[in-house]
Amino acid sequence: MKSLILCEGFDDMYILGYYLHKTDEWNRKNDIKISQLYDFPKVHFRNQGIEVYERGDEILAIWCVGGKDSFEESFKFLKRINENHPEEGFEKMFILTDRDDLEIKECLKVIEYQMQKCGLIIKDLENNHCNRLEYEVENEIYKLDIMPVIIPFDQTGALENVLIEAIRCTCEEDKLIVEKAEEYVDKLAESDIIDSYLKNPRQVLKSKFSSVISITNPDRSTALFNSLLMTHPWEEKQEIVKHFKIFNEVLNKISKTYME
Amino acid sequence: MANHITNLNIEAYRGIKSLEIEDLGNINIFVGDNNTGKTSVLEAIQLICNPSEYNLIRIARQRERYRTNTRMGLNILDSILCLFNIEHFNKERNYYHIRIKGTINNQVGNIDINGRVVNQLIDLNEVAKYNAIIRSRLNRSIIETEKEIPTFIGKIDSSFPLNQLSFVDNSMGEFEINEYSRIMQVKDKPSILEVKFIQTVDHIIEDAFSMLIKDKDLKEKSVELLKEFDESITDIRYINDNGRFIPIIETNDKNYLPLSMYGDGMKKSLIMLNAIVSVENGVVLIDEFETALHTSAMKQVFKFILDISRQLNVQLFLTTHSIEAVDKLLESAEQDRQDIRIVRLKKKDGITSARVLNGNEAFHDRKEYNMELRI
Repeated sequence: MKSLILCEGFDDMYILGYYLHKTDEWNRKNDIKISQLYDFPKVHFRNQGIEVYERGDEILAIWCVGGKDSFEESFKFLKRINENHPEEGFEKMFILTDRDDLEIKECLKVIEYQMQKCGLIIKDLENNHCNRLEYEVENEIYKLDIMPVIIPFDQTGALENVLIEAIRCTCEEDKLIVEKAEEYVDKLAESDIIDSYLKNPRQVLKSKFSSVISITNPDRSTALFNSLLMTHPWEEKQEIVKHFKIFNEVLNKISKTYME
Repeated sequence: MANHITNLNIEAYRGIKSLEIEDLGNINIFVGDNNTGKTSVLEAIQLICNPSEYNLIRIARQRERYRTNTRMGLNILDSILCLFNIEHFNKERNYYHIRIKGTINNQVGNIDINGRVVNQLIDLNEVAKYNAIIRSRLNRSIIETEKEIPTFIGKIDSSFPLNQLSFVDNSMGEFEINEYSRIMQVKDKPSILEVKFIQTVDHIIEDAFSMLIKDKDLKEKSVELLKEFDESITDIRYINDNGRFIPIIETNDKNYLPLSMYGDGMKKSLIMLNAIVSVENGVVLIDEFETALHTSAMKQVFKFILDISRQLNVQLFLTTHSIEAVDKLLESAEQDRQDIRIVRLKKKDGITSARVLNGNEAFHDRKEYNMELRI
C-alpha cells in the first residue's frame, strides 16, 4: 500500500517523520524511488523536499511542497499516477497544513478548490477525517482516502503553536520557559528600535518557538535546527498525539471508519 | 495533418474479443505487453480500409510470410480460421464472425466477415495444375483424384456508404477457401483508404525507394536523411544490371554500393519513407517502427517521417516495445505533439482495453515523472 503525506515545510516533514518512526516503526529509506513505473517529480525549489519511509511492504512518502499555495503540483502528480497506474498509485493522501488566521472551514474550501483545479473532484471535505474519493479506470473502481489535517484544531495558528503548547504542557519547568520566551519575543516585537526582524505574526511565532528550543538545548547552540527539533520526545506529548492521531489510525486501519 | 480514422471498434478478431479505441490522432503509437494485440489492431485497420477477399487472405498469410520452408507453418485455411477469435466461435451453429467498426473520413461504418466450415468434394486434378506436390502424388497414384476437405465459405459485408466503394452492392459475395487455395493477385477492388503495412523485417526484403526517387524534392530530402548514417552519401538510384534493377547508394567519390550492403537502419528509414510516399492521403502501418534504428539516428529519422506524413496527409499507426523510441518521437514532434496519441493496450482476464494519451500529456508524464507508458 502506498500513502502520501503533503505538508508545507521542512519542519512539518521532520516532525511527522520522527513521530511516525517512533510510534509506528516507519523507517526512512535512503532513496525516494517507490515504483518502477514512475518517479516523483524533481524538486525545483529550495523549500521543497521528499522523504520516503517503509514498513514491511508499505510505503509512506512525505512531501514538503514549500507553502500552502503549492499543493497543486502534488495533486496533479497523484492524479496522473493514480489514473495511469492505479495499482501502483496512492490509496491514502494526508494534507497537513497550518490554519494561520482562517477558520478550518475556509481552509478546507481552499484545499477543495486546489484539488478541483487539478481534476480531483471532491466536495465537503471534513477536517481530521477520512474522506473517500472513488474513481474509475478502465471499468474498475479504485478508492483514494483523503485526510486534511488543518492545525491547530482549537485556535488559529500553525504547527509551531502546537509544538509550543506541547512543551508548555510537559511540566512546570517547561511551562515557565515557554511563558518567558513568549514574553521576551513579544517585547522585542513591540519595540520601536527593532525594525529588521519580527515583522509579521509568522516570524514572531517562529521566533518564540526557536527560543524555546534553544533554551531547552543549551549544549547544541550551533547544531542544525532540525536536530534540535528532534531532542524533544514529541510522541509522548498529548498535544502532538491529539493532532497526529489520525495518521496512526488511518495508516494502521485502527478505527472502523477508516477501514471501510 | 491526416486524421482519416478517428475511432475503431474491433470484435472477435484474433485474440481480441472486444476493443474500443476512441480519439485516434494523426500519429498513433501502440504500446503494451506481448500478446495484447498491437499487430492485430494494425491488421484490423488494413481490413476495414480494404474489405476484400484478396486482402483478407493476404492479411491472414502475413504472419507466415517469412517462412522459407513451405512445409512448415499454417496452410491458407488455417490462417483464415486463425483470424477469428476462438471464444466467439459458435460451435453449435458452425458460425465464424468478425466485426470491425470505425469512423473513416467522418463516416461511421463497419465490416462484417461471416463464415462456416463445411466438407466439400474437390477435384485434385484442378489443384495439380498449380500444386507440384499434389501433381506428383497423383502421378504416382498415391492419392485419389477427388477428396472431401474442410472448406471455409465466407462473406464480407460493409456498411460504409456506397460512394466509398465502387460496387453494385455492399456485399463482396461469398468466397471459398480450403488448404489448397491460392492467393490470386486479382485487380484489387477500390478501397476505402489506401493502406501500406510495413512488417518488422520488411526492410530486408522489400523495395526501399522506388517511390522516393520519383519526386526530385523528396529524393534530395531522403539523401539528406541518409547522411545521418553516412556523410559521404550523395545519391540513391537504380542501376540496370542485365535487366535486373538494383537499388544502389552513391557516395561522394563516385563509387556506389548496392543498398543491400548497407546497414539495416538505413534500409528501414528508406522503406518507411517509401511507404508514406506511396499512399498519399492514406494510412501507413508500421510494426515495431524502431527496429534496426540506432538511438543516434532516431530523432532525425522520426522528424523526417513526421514532416513527410504531414506534407502528404498520411495517417500513421505504429507499434513499439521501445520507450526510447516513444521518447525520441515525442521529442522530435515539437510542433505536432497534440496530434500524437500513445495507445496502451492491456489484456486482463481475457479482456483487452485501450488507454489513449495525447502527445502533450505523454511528453509531460515522461519528462516530469519518468512515467512508464507501456504498461
